[in-house]
Amino acid sequence: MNIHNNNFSCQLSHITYRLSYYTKVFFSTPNPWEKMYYVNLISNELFWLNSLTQQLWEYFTEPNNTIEEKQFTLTELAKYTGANGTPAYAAVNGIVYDVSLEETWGGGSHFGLIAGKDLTNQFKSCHQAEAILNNLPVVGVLI
Amino acid sequence: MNSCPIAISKDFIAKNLIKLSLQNTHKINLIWLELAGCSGNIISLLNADNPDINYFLTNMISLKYNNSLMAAEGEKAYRQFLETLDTEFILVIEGAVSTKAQGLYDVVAKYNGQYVTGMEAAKLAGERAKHILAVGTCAAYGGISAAAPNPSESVSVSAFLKRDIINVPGCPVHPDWIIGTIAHLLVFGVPELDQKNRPVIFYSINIHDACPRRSFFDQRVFAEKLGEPFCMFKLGCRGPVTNTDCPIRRWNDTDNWPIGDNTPCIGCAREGFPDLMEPFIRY
Repeated sequence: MNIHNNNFSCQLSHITYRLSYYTKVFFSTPNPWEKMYYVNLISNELFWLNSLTQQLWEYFTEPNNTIEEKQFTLTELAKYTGANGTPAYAAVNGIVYDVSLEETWGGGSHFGLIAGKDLTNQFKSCHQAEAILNNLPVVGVLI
Repeated sequence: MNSCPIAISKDFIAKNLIKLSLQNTHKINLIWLELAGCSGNIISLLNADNPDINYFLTNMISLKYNNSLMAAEGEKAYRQFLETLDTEFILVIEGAVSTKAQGLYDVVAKYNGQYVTGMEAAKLAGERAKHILAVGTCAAYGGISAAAPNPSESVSVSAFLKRDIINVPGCPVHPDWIIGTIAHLLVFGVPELDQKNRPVIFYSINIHDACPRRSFFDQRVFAEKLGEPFCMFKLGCRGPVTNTDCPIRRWNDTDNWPIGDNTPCIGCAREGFPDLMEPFIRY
């Protein structure tokens, strides 16, 4: 199995969608028979979810399978400025973060800074806590 | 006659409540001093509605000095300014304080053959005023007057006067924010202020949180060019970093406001405007 495969995440999202739908119907119906029916459907979905987790576990326990980190050079990073529909990436401490949907980064710019650069020094001069970085999706490392 | 004002007529409840709350107040003198600014805030004030500028000038305050609105000119006008200093007054300052060359970059009057700089006038009135309102982004944070490279070395009023100041930022400021703050001063005293000394009643709402296009942001539907009726976050909207009640209050008698008129928020009421809010539009 390839976890980069779209199929995997597709299956996962379908399962979560169905689970939330069944739960909603379960609570909204007053009919006990119907409730039983949806409990049954939910346990089916949990079975599929379990098997997916199993596959994932097998994949990671094999020695050669690790998620490859995308590596960025500064020139590559400079393409992701958030302009013209590109995603906005910014590097701090050698890690490249996706700031496209970060609310303080409207249009790939943040208090005078533009995305697509190594902003380690600027980050340190303004933010004391590095914990805020944990909320940002990591896209790769800077080399 | 019924003494309860509410029972008289439901149509006049609001008016009666206003009267009731104002009955123990007296009209206070007000000096509106313009320093290194663009007169934008006084023009914005003229657009006030409910209460309008007439009500503000006749029932709430007694405007003693303003370079744009007063009839007197020259030394006569400045003498009126000096006379008001001995009374109890509220000082409203719009525009930043220009400090280069002892303030000569911003001259507000000529009195007895001498130039009176904005810096001098602010210091003179600032020491004696009962309350000070720094109105507009320039007065509150330095704003456009203090934007890089800041040739006039302008600073905010709070940085210059070093005393308790109510900041009412905005470029320009909404008339309701000024009149509302002054009304609060008259009736209840100093309003509740946040960390940046802004009245919480007007500046506690994040524009992004109250934005009518917020659902587009949550669903990741973004406008790619101006004019599209979706979230303008990817065009550089500063709503997420700006706190004002623009989305609810709106401008021009509750009609217009930037996002309602299809243009992104530029964060005009945010500290650091305009330098830190640029670029205003990004494609």
